[in-house]
Amino acid sequence: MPSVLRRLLVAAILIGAVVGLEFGFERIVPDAAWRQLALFAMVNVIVALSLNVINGMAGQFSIGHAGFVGIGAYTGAMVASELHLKLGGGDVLFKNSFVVMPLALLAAAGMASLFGLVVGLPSLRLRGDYLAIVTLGFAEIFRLVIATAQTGGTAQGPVGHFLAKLGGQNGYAGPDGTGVAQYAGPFWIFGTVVVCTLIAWRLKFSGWGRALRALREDEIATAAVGVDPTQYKVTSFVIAAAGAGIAGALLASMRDGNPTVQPDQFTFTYSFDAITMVILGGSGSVSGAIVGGVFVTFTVKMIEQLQGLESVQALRAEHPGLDLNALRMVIYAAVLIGLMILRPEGLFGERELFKRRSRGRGTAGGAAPEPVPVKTKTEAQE
Amino acid sequence: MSALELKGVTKTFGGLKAVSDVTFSVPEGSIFGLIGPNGAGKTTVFNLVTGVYKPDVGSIHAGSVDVGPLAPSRIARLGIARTFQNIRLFGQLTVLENVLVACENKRKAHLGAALLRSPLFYRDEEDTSAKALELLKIFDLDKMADETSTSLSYGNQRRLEIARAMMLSPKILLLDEPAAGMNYGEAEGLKKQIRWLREKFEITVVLVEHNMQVVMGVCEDIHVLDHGETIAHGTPEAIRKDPKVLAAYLGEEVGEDEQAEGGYRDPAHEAPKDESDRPMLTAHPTRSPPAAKPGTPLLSVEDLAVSYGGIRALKAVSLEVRRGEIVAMIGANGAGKTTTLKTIVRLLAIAGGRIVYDGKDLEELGTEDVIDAGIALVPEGRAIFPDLTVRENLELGAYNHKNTTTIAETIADVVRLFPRLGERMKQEGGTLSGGEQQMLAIGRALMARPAMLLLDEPSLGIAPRLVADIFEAIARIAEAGTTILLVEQNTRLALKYSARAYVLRTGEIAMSGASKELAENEEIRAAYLGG
Repeated sequence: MPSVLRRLLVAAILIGAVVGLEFGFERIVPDAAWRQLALFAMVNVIVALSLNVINGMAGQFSIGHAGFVGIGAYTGAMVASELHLKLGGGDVLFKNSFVVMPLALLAAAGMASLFGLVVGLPSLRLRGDYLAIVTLGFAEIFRLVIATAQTGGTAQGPVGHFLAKLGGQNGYAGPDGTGVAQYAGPFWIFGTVVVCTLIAWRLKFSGWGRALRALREDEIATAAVGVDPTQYKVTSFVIAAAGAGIAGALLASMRDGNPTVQPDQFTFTYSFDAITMVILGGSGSVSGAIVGGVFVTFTVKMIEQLQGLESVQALRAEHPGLDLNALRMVIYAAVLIGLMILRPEGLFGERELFKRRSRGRGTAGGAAPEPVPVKTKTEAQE
Repeated sequence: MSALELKGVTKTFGGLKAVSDVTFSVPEGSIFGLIGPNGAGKTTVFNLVTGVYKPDVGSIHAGSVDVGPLAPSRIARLGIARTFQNIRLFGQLTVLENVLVACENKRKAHLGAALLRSPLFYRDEEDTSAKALELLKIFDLDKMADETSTSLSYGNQRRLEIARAMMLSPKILLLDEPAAGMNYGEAEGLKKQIRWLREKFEITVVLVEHNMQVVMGVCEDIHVLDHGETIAHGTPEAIRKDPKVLAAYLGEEVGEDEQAEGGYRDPAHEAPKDESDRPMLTAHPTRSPPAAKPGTPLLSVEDLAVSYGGIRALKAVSLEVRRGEIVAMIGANGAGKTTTLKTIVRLLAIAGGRIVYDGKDLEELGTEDVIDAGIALVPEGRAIFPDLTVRENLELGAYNHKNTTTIAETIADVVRLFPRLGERMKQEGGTLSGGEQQMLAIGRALMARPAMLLLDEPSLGIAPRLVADIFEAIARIAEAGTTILLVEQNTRLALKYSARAYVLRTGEIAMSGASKELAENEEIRAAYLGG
């Protein structure tokens, strides 16, 4: 079948591309800061893709996505670092990443989805804004529990002991304090983006995704056609949490990234950034989530870069009272407001960049249905 | 063998018995009617049967299963499908997708297959799409399969709801006012469809409907509720003659021939004497009255064209409403009546032609400017604010003259017109019955003190007895000096109360003239009046 051939070809090209990036990325982007930014953008794409499942497709308002990213980051970092030591430590080798990364990603996804189930099961039974409140609370509790844990005390129970290992406010830097093993190079990060995009796309364009979007439009009518709203909402929430966990694991072991995982990375500013990515790109659109993730990451960076311009520096010298750092957020907000005025439904709305290949339509009629007395004389005239 | 059986079912909302000790059984394979005035509890019965509400007392059996305690999705999977009084489609989904959601629970290919895109997934999608398209074809919607459901006309949305319900392969189909907004010809078509569905799919149909043409035409058995209680049960012939039903619901066969032209004014509807020194509905406090003299054109629409997406909804509509007139617009669903009204108040873009109101071209104006200029719209389906009280709903209507004295005066006028609203000032709009909501919608539009009132289907979903009250009120509004353009599926009443009428057909004016003459016209009689 040509479609199988085509699929294999596309898969081969994509694998070739990510392997190429693994080894050629430093040549393509020589500046480490920009490399870091590009990889961070890809992590954000996964964050946006996963949040899009629950916020965009299912229409539930989760505003604590950073919490799940955080859980994934800590889990992934611990697994990666422990495995790194087991493999003998030393240099981070590409061949070892095939042992470390799958396990780290799997553990992160599993842990995040477990928490997703615990948070989602009670709150998604209720309608309305409960989910928003619960997710926000959850993310903050998670962050503060880690940030305020006492480190180094001896009179601690097993929980205290475990939390102490996470490093409190200073962050987790591996079991020996030398930093998290950075196994997630371009291969793993870009590769995971490709896989996550594929999953998000296939979820959206399946009966399951259709039921989720129906749920977003009208919950009562969805139940009236036999779809259990709670089951679908909880499943989508768990999937979203798993995606966030994967993003977190990649963030924790990102090459050229921050070698420690700190609780302050997962404040609710990050949750709101994630919501911005989804809404800006277009709620419910897979393409939108990707563009939104990249756009938000780079816009924030671009505005930072603007501050380095000579003219801006001159301005600052002239008016010492001018707080450029505060202005950064004002500019960012202005960009967002402008976009929302120009395109209130987001860049893509619910549409996609590519047309979905439609299969089985038109030819699938089978036997022609028998004639039906639908039209009366008056209607037939029209 | 009964398909559905209710025994002593009672449901109370905040002390009010919405349904009280209702017992009936629906024979398998029958077409069963559930009728009664607005607020009688018919939709509540549907909500109880489908699990949206749980009964306080009593049992509901579908076949041998007690569905009372089950969740709505479980009940749907047992084969009880329904449509909704106020259409609940999945707005942003396409027509085909709307139908496909209903087979999700029977899908063989689950999440795993969807992620792997296994052959099972494709086969499943093909099978279900084929079945869905077949159903759409029955309701003549297959050509619109890829349009979003919000873009369909009201009547087509109702048909799509039935198609979606049928995708569940139900044993019992509950239809909540399927004929709302349909004219005589369309209602005849619906009757045939209901009978045909029953034969073809061997289902039991339960019907809530105010359109007596449909109820009496298809139902074999009718159950009548009033204030949540059973007042009658029997065959259509028996129900038609039942004195209790006549008194509570049907009234004296409203709109039939005995109400001669001009002779419709019932003394009981006159304003109470103590208030009547003040004339009703005086002009807007700040806006000067229209420059057009009574009897000369106030609104003229010239060759109006409107497009939705790529589709021309209006081709070239020209009409004229003279100051002080009641003008009716009639025609099938999707002919462009609502589109015309929406375009006049500038909710839709003009693709060609022009709209002139009292010498002003409306093209450049926004909706709020049109309201300021003196036009008010009572939208199709009422669109009241359900969470606001009746008083708040009314006050919002007076947004363009924020003057406490005139607001109080106008509210008093609205209450004189619809005394029932006076009793319910503090109630939330959403808790009103359909007829009361319609009164509220008209009242809200009047709050703007319009010189011209556009009414879109004021009798939609209203019990027969109340329909007469609504039309009486419209006559009184016109008498107080407000010009009226009326869109209505109850062609008989529309022609009776209006001076002139336009017949729309697929976005064009097919006929126009004095209402009296149109009512005599052979073609109109056959298509819209059934005589």
